[in-house]
Amino acid sequence: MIDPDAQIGGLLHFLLPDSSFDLERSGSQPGLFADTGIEQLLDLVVGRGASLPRIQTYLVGGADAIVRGDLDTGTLGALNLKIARDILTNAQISITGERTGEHVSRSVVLDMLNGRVRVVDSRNREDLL
Amino acid sequence: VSHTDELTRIIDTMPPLPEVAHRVLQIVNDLDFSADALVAVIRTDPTLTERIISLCNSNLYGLPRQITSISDAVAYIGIRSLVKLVVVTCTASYFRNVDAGYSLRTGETWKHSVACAIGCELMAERFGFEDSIAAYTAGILHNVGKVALSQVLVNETHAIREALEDGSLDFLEVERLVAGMDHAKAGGIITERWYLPVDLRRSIKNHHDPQQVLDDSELTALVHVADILAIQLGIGTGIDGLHYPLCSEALRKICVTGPDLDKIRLQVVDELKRSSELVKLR
Repeated sequence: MIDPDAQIGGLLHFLLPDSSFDLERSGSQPGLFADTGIEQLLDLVVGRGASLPRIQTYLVGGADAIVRGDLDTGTLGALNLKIARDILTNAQISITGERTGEHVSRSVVLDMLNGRVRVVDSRNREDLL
Repeated sequence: VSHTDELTRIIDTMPPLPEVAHRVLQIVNDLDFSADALVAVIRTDPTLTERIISLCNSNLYGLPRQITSISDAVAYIGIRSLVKLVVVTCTASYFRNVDAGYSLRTGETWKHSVACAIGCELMAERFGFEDSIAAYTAGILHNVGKVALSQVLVNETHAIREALEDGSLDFLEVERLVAGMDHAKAGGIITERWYLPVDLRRSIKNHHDPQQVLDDSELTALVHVADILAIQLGIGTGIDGLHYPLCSEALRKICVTGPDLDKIRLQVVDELKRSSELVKLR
C-alpha cells in the first residue's frame, strides 16, 4: 500500500484471515491477521500523511497447496484473499495490481521512491507491478 | 548413469542413524518405557550427552540453574523433551546439504523439519494421539528423502522449472519425472534401512499420499497436515513452492477444523521462534 506522490507506504505480511478467534493476539500483533492488519496499515500510512484517494494497493500471495477431495475448511490462501478484498472494498480502496493464487510462493519488494512493486515467485518469474 | 541408479547409490552410501538414536527410538517405541533405561543409553555417548546438556543450558529452556548431567536434564526438562533433543541432535546433520537442490537458503529445510515436528506434536496433544514422541520424530524426519533427492535436483533446476510450467504436476510428480523417484519414497527406503518403527516409516513414506494408509495410520495424517501447515506458512518453501497435495481425508481423520488450524498455525509460529536453538543445529 503506497501513496507514490507522498512516498508514504508500507507492506503487510499477514498469515491468517480473521482475528476474531484470538482477540488478545489481534491487539498485540494486529499484523498477523488480514482484518486487523489492513486496518492498522491504512491507519499508519494515512496517519503519516498519505492521501486516501492517491493510495495504491497491491495484493501478492494467497497461494495454496493442491486440494484433493472436499475441503470443508476452505484453503488458507483463498480465505486470505477473500477477506483482504472484502476489507479493501468496504474501505472503498481499489486494488491497483495483484499477483495471487496458484501454487507458488512469492517474495515482494515495494520501492518507496517510485511506488513500484517487484514480485519474484518460486518458479523464478519476475514481475514489476 | 541414470538418476535412479545415482539415487540408489546415494541412498546406499548415506550414513546410518547413530546407534544411540536407534536405541532411544526403540526404547520409546514402547509407550511404557523406563526413564532409567533411556538415560543409561544416552550416557553411553559422551558427545551426545555434552550437546544435550549444552542445549538444556541454552536459551531454549531458560532453566534456573546450570545442569550438569542427563539425570538433571530429566528432572528439569522432562523425559519427553529429552527424547526430542536426542532426535534433533542426532539427525540435524543429515539436512546440512539439502537446501541447494530445492533452491533454498542454508538451513531452511531443517527449519521446516522443526516446524513440522512442532505442528505434529501440537496436533498430537490436541487430538489425543498418544505417542507425541513418534509424532515429533516423524515431523523431524519426514523430508529425509530430500537429503538424497537434492543431490540430483541441484543440477536439474531448468528441467524442474519446465516440468512445473503448465501447472498440472505436483512436485512429487516433478521429482519422479526429473529424478526417477520422489522424496517420500526415498524417505521410506532410507528409514527402512535405519530399521525405524513401522508406523514411523509409513508416515514418512506416505506423508504426501496419506489416503493410502489412513485407515490404520493416524500418524501419517498428522505428518501430512503439519507438513502442509508449515508449507502454507512459507517455512522451507523453495522451487517446489506449494505444489503439494492437501488431502481432505487426512484433516477429517484427525478431526481438525478450520478454527483449529488457525490456532495451530499461530502456535507453530510462536513455538518455532522459541526453538531457535534447535533451528540453528547443523
